[in-house]
Amino acid sequence: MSTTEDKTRKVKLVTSDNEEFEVDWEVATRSVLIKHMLEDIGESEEQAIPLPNVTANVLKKVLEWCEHHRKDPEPAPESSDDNRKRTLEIGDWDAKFIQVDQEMLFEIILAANYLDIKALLDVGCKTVANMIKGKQPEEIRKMFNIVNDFTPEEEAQIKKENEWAEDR
Amino acid sequence: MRNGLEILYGLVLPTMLRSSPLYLDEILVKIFCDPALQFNDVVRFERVCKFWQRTTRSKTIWRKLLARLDDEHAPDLLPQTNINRLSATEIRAVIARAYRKDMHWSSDSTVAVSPSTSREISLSAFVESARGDGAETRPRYMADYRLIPGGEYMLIHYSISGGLALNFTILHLPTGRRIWNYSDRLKARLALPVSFIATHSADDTGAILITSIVLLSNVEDGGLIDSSMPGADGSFILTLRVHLSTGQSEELFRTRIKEPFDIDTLDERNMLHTTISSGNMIVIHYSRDYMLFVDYRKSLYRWVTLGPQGTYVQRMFILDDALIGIVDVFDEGIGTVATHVVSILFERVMEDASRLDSPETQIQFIDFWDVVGFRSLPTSRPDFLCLLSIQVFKAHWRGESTTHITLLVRPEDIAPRLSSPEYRPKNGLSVVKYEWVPSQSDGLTPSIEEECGLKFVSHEEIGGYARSIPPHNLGAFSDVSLSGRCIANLPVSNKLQAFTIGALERQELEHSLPTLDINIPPECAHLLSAQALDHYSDTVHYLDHNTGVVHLHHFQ
Repeated sequence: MSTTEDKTRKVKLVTSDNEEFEVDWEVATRSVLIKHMLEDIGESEEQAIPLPNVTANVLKKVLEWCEHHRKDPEPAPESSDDNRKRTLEIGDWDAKFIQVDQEMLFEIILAANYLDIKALLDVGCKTVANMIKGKQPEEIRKMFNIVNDFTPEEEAQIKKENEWAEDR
Repeated sequence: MRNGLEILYGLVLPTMLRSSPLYLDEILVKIFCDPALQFNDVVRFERVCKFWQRTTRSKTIWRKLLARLDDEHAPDLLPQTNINRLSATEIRAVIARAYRKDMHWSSDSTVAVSPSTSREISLSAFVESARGDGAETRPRYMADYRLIPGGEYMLIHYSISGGLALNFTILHLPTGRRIWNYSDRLKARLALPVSFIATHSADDTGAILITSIVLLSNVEDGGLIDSSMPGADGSFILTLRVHLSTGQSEELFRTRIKEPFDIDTLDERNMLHTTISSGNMIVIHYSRDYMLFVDYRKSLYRWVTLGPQGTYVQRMFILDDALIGIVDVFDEGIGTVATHVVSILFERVMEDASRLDSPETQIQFIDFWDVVGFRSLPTSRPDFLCLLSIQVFKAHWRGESTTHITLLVRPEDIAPRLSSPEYRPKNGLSVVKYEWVPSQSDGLTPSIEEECGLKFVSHEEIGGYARSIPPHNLGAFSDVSLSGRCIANLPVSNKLQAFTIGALERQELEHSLPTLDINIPPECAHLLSAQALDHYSDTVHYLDHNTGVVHLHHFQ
């Protein structure tokens, strides 16, 4: 649980391209990874947290999300009925926030995963899910520049088996 | 600029993989698990590339898809199936079947729905093979069957020579293979097989429980029964457990019950119900006067009287640890009948139960209404509800514990019906709903009731002339299957028609009812029972008594 002292505390983060960010403790600790690292280093305010897997432009975007969601309650742990609780829609602010190019979208997903920010990872994954929903395999390949590594026979076989369901 | 998915394919620092909560393929799994994506989306992903195809084999994805199946796509999973033990391939197959079945039923209602496969099983062939041992050659035989829930196996019971033997066979329908045979020659002058039932065991072992009730008369030899009471009448109760995978079986319970009343006055027609719980309870309904509750694991039993005021059980079934009954109470003085829905907790009825080996003098009766925990008030006028069909539905694949009970009834004013055989009820059909919540003390709570009035009307063509079929002309309703379908018979055209209770409530049936493309002999159609539609597999089945052939039509 955070204290009043924690909320006024500043945290230094250093990206893979050596850019330093100073952010509020409450914002930085949206990341479970950073929260745990801060717990490890204790009261040493001057010590910067290295984030070797995140570049500055991605971290800036991630921190924008953390700033907006700084007051959100802690996410509930994954449970069996998590499936039902997850909504089909992304909130308005998140939808606007995630309107980025495809490279940035996946960088955000990877950063959210690395930094352990579950809610942001959910937003990213849901955005991709919405992109691929209802799309034909060829459209998906084109969208993501994926090489079709099936032989024509293999593809025909899968198509034949799944045809009844794909067209639903 | 890099393409986004290339990043997910590994164009990232390896250290990120080791320190992150999810591996990269797990991120793709997480995307595929999103509630926005449905079965047909994931099936399409299998064709994108080999990496995506491998990713879609994740059990997590199929578990999520299974948990999101709505009521219209109810999977044919038995309630006791341990979903955790199913592989991704098995869960995918379950989901595929649910969608296929819905497609089958949802086809153009103006075209008759055809079964995907049909089979015929001759019961007389089993009797012939049993005669082959030369033990008995007299031509009299009795044969009947039960489709084991799920539609894959059939339990066949046959007795030759006036019913002095109890023979069972389980047939694996897809292969026609007999996986289990059982024969029990009873030592009595008369042994009348009255009732038998097959249910899946609740312990997820793939076993089924078979319970058979036989009325015995003029017993000559103790043999299988209590030798201290030779010559007495009574019932022989046998419960067997059969493992379908191995064909091995064991006796769980075998006893003779000496009824505290004269069963010579009972006939087969009067012995209306026999059922067994998924646990350890057997409930037998004798005539209109008595019920017997047996806990065969604890060797306890309890007689229940249905009371002097006239209580008639229309139907009863077991949910969890309770008996649910749809019962009528007659007031013969003023000639009225009121229908109630009741629940009886087994724990309550067995509170002061007797041991099966206790002396006869200790037999004590308890009044039915003294053990009823929940009793609904009559919910419509007139008070008499003629039960046509029952839907028992629990979305266990979504982890839900509440069971929804829906009754399709025809409310009738009983007085004019009694006075005039030509009486036609003025009311249409009604749908009455209840919820069963096992954690509550008595479980059953009324939910909502909806009247459908006279809207349940169909049209049929007779010699080029279209006429409306009011609901009371429909007969022989089946119970509602897991997919929500009920079938009923139109006596004039001798057609079977399928519909959902939901469509009935939405009053969508004025102009068309989907007709099943099945030819049923006229003399058989009205005999379709509540069990004529298998709950899990939507298999329509009936016995043609003229030929001794069981006809099975699979709609999935």
